[in-house]
Amino acid sequence: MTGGHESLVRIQAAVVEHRARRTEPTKALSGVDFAISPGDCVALLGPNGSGKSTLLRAIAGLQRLTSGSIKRSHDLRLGVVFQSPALDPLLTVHENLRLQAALFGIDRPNERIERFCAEQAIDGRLGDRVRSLSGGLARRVEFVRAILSEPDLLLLDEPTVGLDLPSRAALLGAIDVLRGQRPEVAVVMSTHLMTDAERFEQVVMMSGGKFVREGSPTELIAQLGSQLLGVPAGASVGAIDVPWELQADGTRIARPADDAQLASWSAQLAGVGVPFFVRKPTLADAYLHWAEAPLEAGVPA
Amino acid sequence: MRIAVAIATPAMMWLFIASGFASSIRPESLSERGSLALYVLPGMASLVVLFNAIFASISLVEDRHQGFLQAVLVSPAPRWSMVAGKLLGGGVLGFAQGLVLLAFSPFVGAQVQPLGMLAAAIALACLSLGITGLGLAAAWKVDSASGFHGVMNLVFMPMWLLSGAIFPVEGASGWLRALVAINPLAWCQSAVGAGLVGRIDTVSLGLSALFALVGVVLAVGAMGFRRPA
Repeated sequence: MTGGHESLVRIQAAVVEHRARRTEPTKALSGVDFAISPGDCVALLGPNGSGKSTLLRAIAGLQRLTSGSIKRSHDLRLGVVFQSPALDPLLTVHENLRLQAALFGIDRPNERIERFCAEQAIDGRLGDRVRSLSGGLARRVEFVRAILSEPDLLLLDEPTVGLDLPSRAALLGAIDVLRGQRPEVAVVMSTHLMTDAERFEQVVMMSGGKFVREGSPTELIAQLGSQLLGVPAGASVGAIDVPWELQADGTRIARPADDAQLASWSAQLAGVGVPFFVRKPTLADAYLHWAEAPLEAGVPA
Repeated sequence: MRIAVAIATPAMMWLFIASGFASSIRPESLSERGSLALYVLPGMASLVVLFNAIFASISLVEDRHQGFLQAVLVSPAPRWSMVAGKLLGGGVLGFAQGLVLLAFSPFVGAQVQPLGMLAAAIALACLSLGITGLGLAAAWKVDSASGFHGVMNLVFMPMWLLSGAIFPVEGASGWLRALVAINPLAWCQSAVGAGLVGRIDTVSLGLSALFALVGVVLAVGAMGFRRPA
């Protein structure tokens, strides 16, 4: 995403179509351009089926493109944490990591395995079979597996799904530690959690297989304006002429262009006794505005 | 467990068929092999090999379902090493277990001649490599373990039944003999059977080698150049 470096991966006009018998092909990716440079830290946000996982799989070389191109830098070392577990449950933690080390041709793997596992506080579980680990511990093993080769590019496909708060915090902290130790490593992570995405320097919002918005979390939030006007779920807004966006929870949100418009709309609502609130926009608002189609986008209610 | 099942089932079948049905088969129909126990032994060895090929192939489907295969595919390890690992892992295990069964052949009338035994072992190795390659190529294309069971039931088991593993094919109807003639399992078993009586069946041995080559090519062709979607 950043300029000035040779890209690790460059994707141009990527289209992925899934074909099934007797149905029209569906596009998982629809003309995506994407470049990843050393040190990039990108969060992919988007609803289910928006193409996040397909994009990550395409970057990893696991998904063929229907059209378009992907160029990877020579000798790119990839580390991937997949959405579903990618460890052999019958092998021990150490055996899984030894296998990964062998696949990547790592010299003196035991030394590295012990160091990385100690950093993740799983060095006491090296002899345990993976199937005996909790979801959080298994994720940590997956993370160690992904970084064992000291990759140039780390891909994480919803790595915090199903984790409790401490496990999630530990995993996100481990990403921060990795970036602190090796600032040149690029990280691309898909997530549904805004708090996870806010930790990243760049956020790409996807919808319908396309990039619909890109920028830093601050930039994306700023694009919504300085204040949002909202009406709680269940409140009747009558014939007040405001371009509401109905949210899935029943709340109505409007984005005034400036303070004068905010004052005008607030006055109208107050005049007819409709409860309302004013607050600063968040990344979740930006996501709901651009990536999730509002139920009644821009329709005066 | 897997190894025990792969050997035990054919060994039990061999025991039941050889001891239980021996009197219901005319000895003259068993060609040069003389006894039913010796006649069905190559078929039972090929069943051991077939079971191992099926296990190896299903493990590929499981690896994919568990996500384990993805982790292998994103590594810089050459693709041929993965194909070779799966092929040799399943192939060598099947071959070794088949040999265990063939080791009993001297007790049921086999003529122990070094060249004959070597030919039987080579034919068994070809069978193991060919059928494992065929199974892996099929498993690469099939999405689920249940789907692979369908392939197993529709392709592998009929191949085994139509190989002359249990019943001599000399007196069979013409269409059945035609199917046996183009069945790679029949070629391999014929070469193994000949080796057990001290004879080298060069045609069957050559065809067995061809089957091994086809199996390897199919596995490499399916797994070596394409990534699963």
